Amino acid sequence: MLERKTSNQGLSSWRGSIPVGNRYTVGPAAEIFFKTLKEKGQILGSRCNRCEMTYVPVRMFCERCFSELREVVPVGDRGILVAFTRVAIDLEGRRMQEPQTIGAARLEGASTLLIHRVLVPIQKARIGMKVRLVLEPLSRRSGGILDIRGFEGG
Amino acid sequence: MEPKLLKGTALELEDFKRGKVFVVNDNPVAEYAWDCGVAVGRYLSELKSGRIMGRTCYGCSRTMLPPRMFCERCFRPTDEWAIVQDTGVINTFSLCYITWDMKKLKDPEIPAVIEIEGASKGMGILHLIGGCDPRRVKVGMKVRAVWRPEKERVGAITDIQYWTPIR
Repeated sequence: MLERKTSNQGLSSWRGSIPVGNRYTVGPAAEIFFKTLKEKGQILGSRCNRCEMTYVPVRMFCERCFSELREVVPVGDRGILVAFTRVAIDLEGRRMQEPQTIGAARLEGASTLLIHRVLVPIQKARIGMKVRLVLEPLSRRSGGILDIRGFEGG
Repeated sequence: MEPKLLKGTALELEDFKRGKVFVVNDNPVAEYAWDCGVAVGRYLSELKSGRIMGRTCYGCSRTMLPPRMFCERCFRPTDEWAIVQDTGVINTFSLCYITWDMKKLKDPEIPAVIEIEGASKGMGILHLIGGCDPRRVKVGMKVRAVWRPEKERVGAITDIQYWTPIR
């Protein structure tokens, strides 16, 4: 019952392609976050006073106490770089021409971390360094996380 | 009865076209190659040659279609390839006025289970009835395969275009 093939001619398989195109909406909370980022170049978060936490980006409920979060607050465009790493492999598993540096920063007033590109050369990056957000110009912003270019020093 | 009010944001296709909400569109490539195995591999290559191939089990004397390498009744490997005829009888059918992706059809597609002569009783394949008035189609009707021209056959069940009544 076993089949043994000794040549790669006449291999019998049925080939096909499954259409799995999909559309993912960001949801009501992220809608506010991205609209404000795009139109005003401002970062918003959600405040839970019970837990004394400010979530960035905007969230619908607190993941600690499950309260509905209705208070939207702006957070600063400056912060502290908490961690960073060098990325040399792309999403397809290929080696990147130019490695990138990705880092996590806590913006002024935020409790959570924002992950984005670190624009300083990796040799100059330090945990605890001051960073500020650099945004794309208004005309190039489309309401996505890449409306932020990354973290620049200072 | 009043429809239940559901929480959430109702959206229509127009809203996406107008960019009313932020959306991420993705079209992952989900290509596959599914190994046919010995039986279906032979079945498909025989279809390309314009023949329908079944397989016989000596234990229960059944000729199975499509062919199988293992008999599920006798729990043993099957024994012999067996070419069957390209004529048969309609076991059941449906008149289908919509496509797989929900478009309306004026003339129905007619999927049917066709018991094929030369295979054991009840051995049938699912295919289409064509070349006749849909109102004529009846259970028990004798049909024959209408093959695609040889150069258009690729080794698929669609190498038979449809089955049509034997007048």
